[in-house]
Amino acid sequence: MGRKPSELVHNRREGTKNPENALATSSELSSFLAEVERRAFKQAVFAVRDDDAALDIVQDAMMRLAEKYGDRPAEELPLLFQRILQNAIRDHFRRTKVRSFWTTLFSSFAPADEDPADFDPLETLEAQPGSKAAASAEDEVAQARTMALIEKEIQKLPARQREAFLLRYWEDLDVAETAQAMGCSEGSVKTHCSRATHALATALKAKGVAL
Amino acid sequence: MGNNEELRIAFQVRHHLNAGAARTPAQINERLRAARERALARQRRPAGVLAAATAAGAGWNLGWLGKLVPLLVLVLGLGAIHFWHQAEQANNIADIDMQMLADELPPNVYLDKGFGAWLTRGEPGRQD
Repeated sequence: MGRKPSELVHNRREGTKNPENALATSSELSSFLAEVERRAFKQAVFAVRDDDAALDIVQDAMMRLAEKYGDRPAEELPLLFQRILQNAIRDHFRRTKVRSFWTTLFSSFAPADEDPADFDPLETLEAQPGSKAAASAEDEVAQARTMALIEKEIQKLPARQREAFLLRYWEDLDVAETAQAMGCSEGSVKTHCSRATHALATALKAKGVAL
Repeated sequence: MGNNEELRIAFQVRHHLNAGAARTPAQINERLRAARERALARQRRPAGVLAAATAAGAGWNLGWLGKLVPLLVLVLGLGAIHFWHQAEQANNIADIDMQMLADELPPNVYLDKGFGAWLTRGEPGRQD
């Protein structure tokens, strides 16, 4: 968490490099999933904007990773998991699209989906008593506000930009790995990341958040 | 926006995202933990755990050779079985020829249909 920007890209691979290419043990897989599960959940929430659906997606991704790739070397797990997670998110949208088609076809009284504009990330934040004992209430409120604004702006990004940005800068995949996980060229990854960063900086600046 | 500036902003965003992930509600964390345990219970086990462990224990990294050797053993085994089968057939025919040349069979035996069938199949064992 305390890494410098210039260290973002390569630290994960150097830090977890396993020269013997050993297969992932149960405890290694467990540690990996425990480390990545919250970020995976947030990634899914940013994409589908629904906690329950996001949990289903993450559970599905974990299950697929364990069942199909549980015997792979531990160092391969991050990329494999991200590929599975992104596919699970896309599957979710495909299923939703099909359901939406049939619902529209058979019923004009179907309840409309929740308006994304009404979504308030602040509602998802729960105070954790004691976790910020040292911080002042004002600081905590300010931090929560910034955090919520950032999450909201990330949700607003085009899907591919958000995907590239999160994989590259939150999950520490390098450009090639991000391209592999997204199924696109490395050039596209760089373009998506650059546009996403620019869009975030502009949107946040407009709301008084200086990064 | 330069590359360094992009990385700097990404780092700031990442910092806030990590803070957000750390504040995931307890009920979500619990459901994630349960999902993780269900996944771990179904973890795929390596097919060649024993072989891999043995090779690793011996300090060998067989790589593609590890896949080639069993295949080679299988091919050699099949070849050996084929060779043995051919040799058996040749021995049987040689025995019959030997008996016929030694005139140990009465001429009437050639009128026996069963003997004819036995000769055609080349099966040993009938001692009529």
